[in-house]
Formats: sequence, C-alpha cells, structure tokens
Amino acid sequence: MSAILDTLMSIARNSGFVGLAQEPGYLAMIVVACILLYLAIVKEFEPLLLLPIAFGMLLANLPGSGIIHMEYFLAPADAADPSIYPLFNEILHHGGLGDMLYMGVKLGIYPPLIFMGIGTMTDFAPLISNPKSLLLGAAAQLGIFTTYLGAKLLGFTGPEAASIGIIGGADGPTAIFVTSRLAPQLLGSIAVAAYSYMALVPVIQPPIMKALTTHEERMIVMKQLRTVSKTEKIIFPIMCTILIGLILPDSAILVGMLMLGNLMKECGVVDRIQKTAGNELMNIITIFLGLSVGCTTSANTFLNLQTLEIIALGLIAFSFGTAGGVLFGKIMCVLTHGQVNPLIGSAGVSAVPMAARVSQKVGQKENPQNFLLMHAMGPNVAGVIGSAVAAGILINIFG
Amino acid sequence: MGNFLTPVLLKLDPEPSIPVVVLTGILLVFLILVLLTVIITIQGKIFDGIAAKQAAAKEAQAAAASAAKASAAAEKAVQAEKVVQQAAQPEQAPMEPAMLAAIAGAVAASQSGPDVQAGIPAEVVAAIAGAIACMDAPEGVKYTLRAVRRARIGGRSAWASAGVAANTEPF
Repeated sequence: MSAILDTLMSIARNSGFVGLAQEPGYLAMIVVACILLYLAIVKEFEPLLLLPIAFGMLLANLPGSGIIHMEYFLAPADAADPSIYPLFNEILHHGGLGDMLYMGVKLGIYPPLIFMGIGTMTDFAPLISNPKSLLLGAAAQLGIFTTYLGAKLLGFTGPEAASIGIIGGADGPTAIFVTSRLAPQLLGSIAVAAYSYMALVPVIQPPIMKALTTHEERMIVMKQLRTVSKTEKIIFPIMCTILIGLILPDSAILVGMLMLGNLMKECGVVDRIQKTAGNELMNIITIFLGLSVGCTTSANTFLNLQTLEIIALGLIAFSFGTAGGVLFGKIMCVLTHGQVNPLIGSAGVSAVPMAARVSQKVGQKENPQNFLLMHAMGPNVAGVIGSAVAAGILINIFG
Repeated sequence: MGNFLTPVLLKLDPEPSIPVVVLTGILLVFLILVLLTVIITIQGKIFDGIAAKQAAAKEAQAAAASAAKASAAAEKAVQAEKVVQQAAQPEQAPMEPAMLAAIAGAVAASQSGPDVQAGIPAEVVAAIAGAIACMDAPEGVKYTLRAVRRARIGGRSAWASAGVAANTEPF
C-alpha cells in the first residue's frame, strides 16, 4: 500500500501542477496561449499561423513537457564560448520534436519555402503593367527603418532593433527569417507581434489612410492596367532573382524562392510541382513553422517588458509603413496630375492580399464605382520584394 | 602590414550608427526598386512595340481577308437575288413577305454598298440590312442602311460593370 502511495506521490511531484506552483509565469503563458487561440479561432486573426503558434506556446509552457530545449540553441549571457551554439550534438542526442522542428527555423529553411509557396499564388501582372508601383512598395518600408530607430532609442541592440524593425515589413516569414538570424531570443515575441498586426491591418490602416488623404484624392479613378504578356511574366522572376541576388546576396534566398514559385506558376509546364509547392508543401511548412515558433515562447523570454516594447514598436512599424506608402502615393498623385490614387500606397506594406483589399474597401467607400483592387495589388506584391530586400540589407549590416 | 592595420581595425565600431543604418537602408531599398522599375518599364515598352507590330500585321491580314469575303458575299448576293426571283414565281412554294424583304435587303446592302467601317464582315452588313428591310415590310415602309460603324463604348459595358461588381464586392 505504501509502495502505491509512494508511486502516486512521485507522479504528483513530477506533474506539471508542481511546476505551475513553482513558476506562476507558466500559468500566465497558458492564459496568453488561450487568448491567442481565441483570436485565431473566434476572431480568425491569421488563423493558419496564429493557431499553431498559440498551440506551440501552450505546449512549451506545460511544465515538464520538455517539448523544446532552447538552452541547446541560445547561448547564455555568461557563456565562455557563444560560437559553439547551437549545440547540434546535444540536439541530435537529446532533442525532441520541438527541437527538430525548430532546426528549420534556426537554419532559415522554413521562411524561404513559405516564400516559394507564396510565389506560386502571386500574380505580378499588376506590378509589371504599372512598374511605378514598385516605388510605393519601397516607400512603405519606411516603417522598418523608423522602428529600428525607435528600438535603438529604447535600448535594444542593433541586431535586436533590426529584427523588431522588420515587423514593419508586414511579412511573417521575412520577420522570422531575420529574427532567427539576428536575435533568436526574441523570435516568439516578434512572430506573435508580426502575425497579430498582420491580422489587424484592416483596423490599423484605414484611419491612417483617411487622415493623410483628402476626399478628392480618395475619389480618383485610376486608368485600366495594360495587358501583360506571358513572356513578360516569365522573364520577370528570372530577371528579379538575378538582379536582386547580385546586388544583395543576403536577399537572394528569400527573393529567389519567391520567384521560383512564381516562375513555376507562370511557365505553365510544371503544374504538378507548382500545386505541391503552393498547397501541400506550404501547409506542412506552415504547421512546422507555427508550432516551432510557438515553442520558443517560454515564460522567462516572453513575459517581460521587452515583449510589451516589441508589441508597441510593431504597431509603430505598421503605422509608419502605411503612412510612408500613402504619402509617397500623394507625391505620385501630384506628379502624375491626379492619375494615382494615394490609397494604393498603403498596400505597399505587403500583408498580401489583405492590404490591397483595405485599399479597395476604403476607396469604394468614397466612390462605389471605384475598383482599386488590381491597382493596389501592384504595390502589395512590390512590398513583398521590398521587405525581402530590406531584410537582406539588415542581415548584411548586422549578420 | 597586418600589424599596422590591427590597431586601426580594433578602433572601428563593428555596428554602424543609427542614421547610417536608417539612411543606407532606405536609400538601398529605393535604389534597387527604382532599378527594377526602370528595367520593367523598358521591358514593357519593348513588348508593347512588339505587340503593336503584331497587331498591325494582323489588322492588315484581317483587311485583306475582309476584302476577299466582301467579294465572296457579293457573289452570294447575286445568288440570293436569283432565289428572290424564284420565290416570287407563283408556281413555287409561297414565301413570307418579311423573309422576302430580308433577302432583298441583304441583296441591296451587298449591291448598293453602304458606308462600312473596315474590318466589319460583309455577312454582318448583309444580316443587318436584311433585318432592317424586315422592319414594317408588310406595311410597305422602307428603311435604308446607309452606314455600319463600330460603336465606341466608353468605360465598361453594363455586363462588364456587373461582373466587376460581383467579383469585388466581397472585398
């Protein structure tokens, strides 16, 4: 009888309840995970990524689950030789599911694969037919660099500030790619902030767009776009990869995979692998990426002032990015004598296709006969290229 | 040389200053995307030029084809006239007056030759002329087809507008 009691006591001592009692932070993280699950399921805030992230967070914060061993990946502050991290030997011998999945993040494998999937679903025709929209995509990257400035002023290190700034690119995979290279200790907070704000684009952008434009500007009806030939659509990804890859080799992997996916779609001769890249493969990687990023959010790295600062800076990043695009749209409107509706500038922050839909919606509120969606898709996909370029620049400077 | 440079390199700050990062970053993003803009614009102009040349060649071919069709239609009209004459004979099967008028109209259109815009097939002209001739033919009212031109529709047609509205409304 006593043996049974001893065994029960031993199981109770090893249960997660003891861990919760010892470290209440875990409980707080479980609450945060449940809130994120609610946002993903009920409010449908980027559910495809927020749901696995939130569930990964839940799993990682169940005391004793040992789903991931971040101590193998991140060098402690007092480490004698930080260059030996990550401890691949330890990961391979003692690692589990979370550790193996996180290797894809750590080695920068998942974001480029997701980019390939995005490429198979992206139509660059609006961008090719109106190349000036690339400039709107560039202007919307203002959010990245202003947020970098803000983060530095708040005391973050250069690589940390760069990782926080990239939230302004409104591109989840790019943010994860940069952060895993420059500041892996902030990965959880930055991923959660990036995806939460991406889901909040329809809430964040319209007030800024309305504040920065006049009624007359919002009413502008843009000319119909010219038809783009198939040859042009095939040349574009190849030319983009060569050009950006040569100028900024750090961007080559992101831009290259995006363009590979797009080339698969446009050439029309690899239908099977195009479908795989855009569906099955992308879905698998999305699960791996979300779960492993969620697993990195432990109580001691997430529940601190830094996370609150990152969330506040993320909002600034999105707002400045939107403002940058709209203001540049106004400049283009003046220079073209009213042929460009400044509302399409806000789509330059990426967040494909949500930001373009916001431009359409705001424009249609003023003029129900105005169809800005295809015009906004140009800056929108330009924003993806722009944020990948900005990521390459930041990795080049701080990597 | 190495010994000479070491103190200088050690003095260098490994991380650039904030303004340097911000300005370099913005400048480089713009430079790369401006370069892309220029290249895509040039590429677009080249392809537009090629497309315009191809369209011109096609138009010339279409004009030649329509001329050939017009002559064929004229031949057919002559045959149609014969049919009208045969139909008018009392021993043959009776034909409705409207149909007779339509055939006569088509024949008239092909013979008198209204002002037809290039590229509109002769069959279309004949059909329109026939339809016009049908109008009120039993009452003895006559209409004449003077010109056939393509209508220039401004903006989107009602169908196109409805289609665009249906596709973009959910956004």
